[in-house]
Amino acid sequence: MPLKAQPFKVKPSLKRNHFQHVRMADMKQLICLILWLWVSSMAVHSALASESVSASYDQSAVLIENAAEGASEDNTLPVESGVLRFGMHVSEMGKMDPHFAAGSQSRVFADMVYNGLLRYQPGMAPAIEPDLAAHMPEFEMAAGKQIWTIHLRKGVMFHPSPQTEAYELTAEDVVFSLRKSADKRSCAYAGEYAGMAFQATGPYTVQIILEQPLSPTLFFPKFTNYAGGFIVSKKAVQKMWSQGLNQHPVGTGPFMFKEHIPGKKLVLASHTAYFRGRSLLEGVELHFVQDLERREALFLKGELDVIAVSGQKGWIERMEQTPGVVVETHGVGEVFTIYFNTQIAPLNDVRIRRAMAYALDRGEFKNTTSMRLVGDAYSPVPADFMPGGLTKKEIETLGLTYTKDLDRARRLMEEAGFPNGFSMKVVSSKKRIYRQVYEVLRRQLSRINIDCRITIESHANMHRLIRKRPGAVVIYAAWRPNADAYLTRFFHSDSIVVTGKKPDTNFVHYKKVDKLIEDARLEINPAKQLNLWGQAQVMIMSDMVAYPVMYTNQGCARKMYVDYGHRLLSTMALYPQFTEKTRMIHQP
Amino acid sequence: MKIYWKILLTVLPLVLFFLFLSVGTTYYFSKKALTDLAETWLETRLAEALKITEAQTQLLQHYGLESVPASIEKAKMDAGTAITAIEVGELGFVFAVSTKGVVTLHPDVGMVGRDVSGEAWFKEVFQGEKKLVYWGPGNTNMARAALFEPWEWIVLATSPEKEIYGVANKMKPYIFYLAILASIAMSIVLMFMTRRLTAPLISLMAGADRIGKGDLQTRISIPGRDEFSRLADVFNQMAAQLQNTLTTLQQSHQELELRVQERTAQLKSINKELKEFAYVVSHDLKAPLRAISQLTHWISMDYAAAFDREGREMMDLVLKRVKRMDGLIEGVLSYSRIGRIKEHGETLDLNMLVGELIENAMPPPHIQVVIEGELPVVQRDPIRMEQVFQNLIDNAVTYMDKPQGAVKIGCGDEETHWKFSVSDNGPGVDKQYHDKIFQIFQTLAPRDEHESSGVGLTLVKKIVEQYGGSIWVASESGKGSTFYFTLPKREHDYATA
Repeated sequence: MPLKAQPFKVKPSLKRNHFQHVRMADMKQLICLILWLWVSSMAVHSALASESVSASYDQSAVLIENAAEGASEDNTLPVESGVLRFGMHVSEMGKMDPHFAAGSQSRVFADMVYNGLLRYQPGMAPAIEPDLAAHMPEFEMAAGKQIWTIHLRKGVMFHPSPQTEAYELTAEDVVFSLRKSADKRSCAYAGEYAGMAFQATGPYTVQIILEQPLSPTLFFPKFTNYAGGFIVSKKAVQKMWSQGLNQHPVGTGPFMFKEHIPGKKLVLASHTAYFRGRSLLEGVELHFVQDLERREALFLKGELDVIAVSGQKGWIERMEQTPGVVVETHGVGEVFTIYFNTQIAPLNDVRIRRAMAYALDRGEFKNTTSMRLVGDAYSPVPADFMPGGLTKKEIETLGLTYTKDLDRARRLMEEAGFPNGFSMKVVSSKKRIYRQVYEVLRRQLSRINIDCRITIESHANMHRLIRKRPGAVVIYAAWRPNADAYLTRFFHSDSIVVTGKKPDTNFVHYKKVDKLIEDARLEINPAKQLNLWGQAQVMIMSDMVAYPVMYTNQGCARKMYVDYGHRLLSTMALYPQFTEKTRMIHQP
Repeated sequence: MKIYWKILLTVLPLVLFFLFLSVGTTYYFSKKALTDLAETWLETRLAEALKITEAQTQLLQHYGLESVPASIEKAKMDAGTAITAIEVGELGFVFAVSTKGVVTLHPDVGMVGRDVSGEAWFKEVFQGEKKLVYWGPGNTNMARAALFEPWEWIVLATSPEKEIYGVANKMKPYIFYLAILASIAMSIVLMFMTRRLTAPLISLMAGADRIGKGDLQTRISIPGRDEFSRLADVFNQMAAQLQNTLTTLQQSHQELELRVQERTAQLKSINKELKEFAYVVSHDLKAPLRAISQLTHWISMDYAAAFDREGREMMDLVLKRVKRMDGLIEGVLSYSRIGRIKEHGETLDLNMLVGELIENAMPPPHIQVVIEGELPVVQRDPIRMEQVFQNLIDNAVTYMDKPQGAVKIGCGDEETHWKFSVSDNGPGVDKQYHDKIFQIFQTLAPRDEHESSGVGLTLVKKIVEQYGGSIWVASESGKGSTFYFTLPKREHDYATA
């Protein structure tokens, strides 16, 4: 499988030098190194995972190689400079203000229309590289504050709009955009930018001043092309404000807003003045086709070029049999984790929680969906997608895998005084995957006499209920951009549902790792930061307050003539990413 | 042995000795410095590793995790990751074993879990040894060890000696070859320098040789201001002076030669003129003198009666003086003829010649003239030989003052020449006159007693010398005289004389 692993091999010497870089306090190099290590491990993981799948996957991998790689490298092939049509699994467009982008369609849209100061390398998240910044920022400490200086690219043009002409991006726009991101009235992710000040020190120079220093591991992702990191046009926002921005967004990306037909499609045109060069595509259309069968039919009829896949068992394998079609899966994956509420008896006894963990079998959970989309998760922070997680090997070494062991589970139940088990209520979403996962949970716990009574609610209702009336067990699928976000939002006491200072998703009512999480957040030495995150997760796993089950990747089917123009391993935008290099190759 | 080789063989071994001594010393101290450096190096790396483990235990304490087995294990893992990343050169590393002798941490994952409690080095470390040298897989290794009590880990920083001394060991052949090359280079340089040092000497020697062979134009050029250069300058000055002196001498010699030639020519010319003058004068004077003699004789005869006794005596005196004058002129003529008139030699038996001379001389009865022994036969002009013997015999007879006079003529064979002698027992010649008697017109007795021209012995001397011989007298006053003269035996001897 040369496609996946080989390009991401990290030289042993780099690994050996890892901590030497720490001693040299060269944070930038180190974070890049960690990211590379992580990307490498992910590539290796993907390669290993592929060993267990069907031969057809191997075949598709070859096709991927031919289309995604071969085509992208062979620039002599004729190119159709047409419009790429992407069929999404949603019924309508979400918010087009990137700072409120939450739904996958909004993230897809923002990814093509906006830029960040930094960006995740297309298809290669979480590897980060400069975007609007001329190069990777560096920091200095002054009066106890951390000051990051960002030098902007010159000649970056905003899209024209009905109320604003195209103009060059300056530090003024960046400062305005970042301040907007830091304001909870204008950004859903404002909390990420708390304690930060922004100032322009020149037409193309911006300084970000942090009250509490951050390591590059945490700092860089906040200013990527994700969430609040998107840079918006000051003039456009001031003219149209947020509502106007939703009507006609103005960014600097390779594609610009052209037309929105609600409930049907959103049309983007090529941004001819894009700073990396005009896109090879004339434009992109996002088609909102929630119904899988219809989406599939349009795709097969040739009315769509790329579609979001279904996780239904067998769907991907069947689609891959279609001539001229390639199915690819990629990160980032949402992590399914089972959270045990330590405040509810008898789960307040660690022996019960461990007994439940030993009763679980990850394989059965994964079997609920396509094997092409899932992978094992072993730590609360998914090690396959970001720095800070614990790898399977580490978890095994630490004896925290909780491999299925029913005898041990029963012994623990007996020791805890529940040899005959107990019963508990859980709330599931109507979504297929949730229902199936809860069902597997119920079935597995029943083996140690735990009666799991499932209540099915709408997806939104499920979210509301688990936050209002915490149950004994919650299964939650989530993607968070970094380790701190995972740990803070799921395990910091401030995030305890209902009673926490900032109630969020701490369903387990856990309080033991607050200091580790806080210190890690403020640790600017990436190696020490990883140690602290690791120790926090060891504690979580030792106390068995969370059982990482699996992660589910994204997937898309494309016509073979579509060339994304980059390798595809993982994207934060939750789709394969269409860039200025994406193209459609003429069919002979 | 030439001085070049003397200098070279003296200096080169010394230079090479010190060269190799300095190379060896450098190598030794380099290796020692490397050992010290390696010890410090390993201790630094060990301290670094211990700092990591300490930091991890502090982390556990700080967060209250010291009682959580998995957290402790995680801390060990993190420490292990950091420690195994510590670089100890290219081949060295840091590892840890439990106090029970099980490898707990090692860059080579395959080593983790291995029981090393039986290894000698572990026993040393276990007993508290902090510095050790041990034999590892194919290498002798240096190590520094320390116990980390909280985890009961013995942490070791180790590196193979081949790496520690790698530089020195790698340097060894290079140093050796460098020393060889340096030796060769130094030898060449020394040879060059020695040659350069001795070159002036060789130049001086060659110059001296050439000057010794007469080439005074030789100049020795030695650039610089050293002693050799100064010596060459002095040498050149000396040669120049020699050349000037010789040139002056040659010029003087040439001038002298010229002068001698000029004087010889002048003398020859004067001699010739003198001879011709003497001949001419003698010859030309002889005629008027004869006329005077004849007229005087006629006057004395014709006017004998007219003269009184005193007149007659006066006339007789005139005739005697004329006769003496004639004798003198005849002597001068004879003298001048010698060498002027070409002579011819013939075989001449001197016994006969001298015998006839004795007979013709008719010596008085009281004087006996005899030939003692045999006289040789010679190849000479008979007239000249007759003149020689006649003058000597006549003188002996004439001046004999003894009542029994004895004149003896003899000859001795002296290998290359004949030595003739004519001796008498007459009045003898005082020693002070031995040379004077051979001068022309010199007589010891008054002419009035013994009429003599004073030319005879001068004539004899000239003839003898003309024949290449010599003449001298052995005599004392009153004891007789012996005249000796020699004649070369071979004709060409005198002919060439």
